[in-house]
Amino acid sequence: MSPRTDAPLWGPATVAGAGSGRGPRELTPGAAVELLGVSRWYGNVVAVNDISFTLGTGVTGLLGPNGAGKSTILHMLAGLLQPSDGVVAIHGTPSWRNPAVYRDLGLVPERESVHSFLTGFEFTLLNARLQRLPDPDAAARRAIATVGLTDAADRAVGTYSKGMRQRVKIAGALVHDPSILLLDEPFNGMDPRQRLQMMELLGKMADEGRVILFSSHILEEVERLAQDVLVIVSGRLAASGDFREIRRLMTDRPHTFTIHSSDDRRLAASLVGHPSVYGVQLDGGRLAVRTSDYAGFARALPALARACAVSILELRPTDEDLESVFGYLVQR
Amino acid sequence: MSDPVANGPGPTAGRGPARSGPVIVTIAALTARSLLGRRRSLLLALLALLPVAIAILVQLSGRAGTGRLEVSTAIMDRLIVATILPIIALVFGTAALGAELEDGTAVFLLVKPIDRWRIVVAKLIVAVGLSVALVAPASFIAGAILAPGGTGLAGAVGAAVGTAVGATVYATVFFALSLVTGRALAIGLVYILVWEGVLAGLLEGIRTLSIRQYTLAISAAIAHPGVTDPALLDARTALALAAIAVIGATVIAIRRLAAFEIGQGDD
Repeated sequence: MSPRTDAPLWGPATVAGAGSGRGPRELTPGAAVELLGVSRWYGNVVAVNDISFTLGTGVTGLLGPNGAGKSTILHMLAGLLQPSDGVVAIHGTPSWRNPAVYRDLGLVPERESVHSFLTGFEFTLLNARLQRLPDPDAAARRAIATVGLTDAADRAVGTYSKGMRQRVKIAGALVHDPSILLLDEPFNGMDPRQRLQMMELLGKMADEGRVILFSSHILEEVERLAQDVLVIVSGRLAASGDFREIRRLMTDRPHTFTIHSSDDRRLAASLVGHPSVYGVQLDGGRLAVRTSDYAGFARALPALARACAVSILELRPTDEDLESVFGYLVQR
Repeated sequence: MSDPVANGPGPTAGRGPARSGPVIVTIAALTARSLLGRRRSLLLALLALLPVAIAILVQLSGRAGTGRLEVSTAIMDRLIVATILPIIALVFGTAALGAELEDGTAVFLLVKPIDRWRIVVAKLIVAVGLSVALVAPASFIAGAILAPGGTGLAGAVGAAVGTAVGATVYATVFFALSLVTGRALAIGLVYILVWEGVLAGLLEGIRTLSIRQYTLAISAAIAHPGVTDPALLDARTALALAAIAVIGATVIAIRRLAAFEIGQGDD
């Protein structure tokens, strides 16, 4: 991705001159992949809401909880869904109803989408032929080798493991050597070793100058692989930019803990005075504490409890699920 | 082309000129393999052989006269034209592309630099071809054995040509239906049973909208040249209506695929 320096890193999706639905909108010259003011709705349900971004070479992670609209964005990029509003462009050309874009684009869908009776090689060869490559046989063999399936190339896809199926889909998607590769949840169902191999493969392809966009709902996957990240929550672009910056904001966000102790009331009185705490609530025998300084609070709590002679029986973070992390980013 | 990865992106480097022929052949070969590789195609073949088997049994039992004519009509019209023919065309017509769009196996075809009409044409040829290949020979053999109305070989040829036309129209219409709705199989069955099976026989006015009537009219015209049956459509009208149905359904299928949108999915 090429984070625009003239646009803020945070807040609703912004494009120079685009605003949120008003003002002139123009595609960025030279952008390999661009969404400009794109929305998509199904009846009354808004799946994607006024999203704009451009992608450059390297790996970009499309991060968000399930149902956030990640697949909708990837499908619009791949010309398999029509944007309800805005423009989705590949090399400056709209991808909807334009099969020519597939000369330089590969899509790895999430679903099991390969005829199980085909062998891995046959499937890859079909992709090469349908791309009208001059030497489909050689291209298929190279793509199979790239994803490390040479030994299993002559076995039916129906006998493959989940990770192998994922890889044969990638072989089919890169057989024509596209500069843009879109992958929908490529790590789903893979074991740790397969994940690692896949990450190495995608990293290698990005180093060769490709534009790679993959979706994931798992923070750690994106963190390990992507230089840039687009955070999608409820169809909106909640954050975009360098991953480390987003990670820092995620760590520094307010945390809420639920404490169960020998004397909640006394502990609450003691906690209120500490600078790392900005909210204390006693609710039905439960003590909820809000803190903006995660590390400071973690250090202070044992000492405070000891000082007021209260035993802590249970300490639990209440909002560590991904949805609340994303929710926080959206509110900013 | 050189190594797809080691040399980095080179989208169109070394690409050959656009050749539609091989691409259509590639898609058609895959479709045929997909349709024939399944157990259901064996069941359909057995279904197509059923009227032949019954015709042989009738022949061996040695019935003759008016009873023979009734049996012949029962097999040729009600069993083959009204039931087996549309069911075989329904299965092939809806499986060739509609089912693949539903289960996701057609996605890799769609994300290729191929005009969508080529995909429709390639798959349609296979759906129609397989339907005709199963139905027309079976009705030829059954017709030759039964010789409906004492027409001899002409009756058999008429049955084969008529059912070939019928299979073409049915398969094309059901193919288009499978691109319009995800419930093509159920809707197609209702159409076969209710519209073609009951209404088109009762109401004379809708004969022109009945593929079964096209089939019967063309068969009769070849079996009994020069004879006009007031209960049947004129053969030329039937042929023209069949052509309109095929062209119309093909155009609908191409338009639907060009604007195909993938399911909402569970992102």
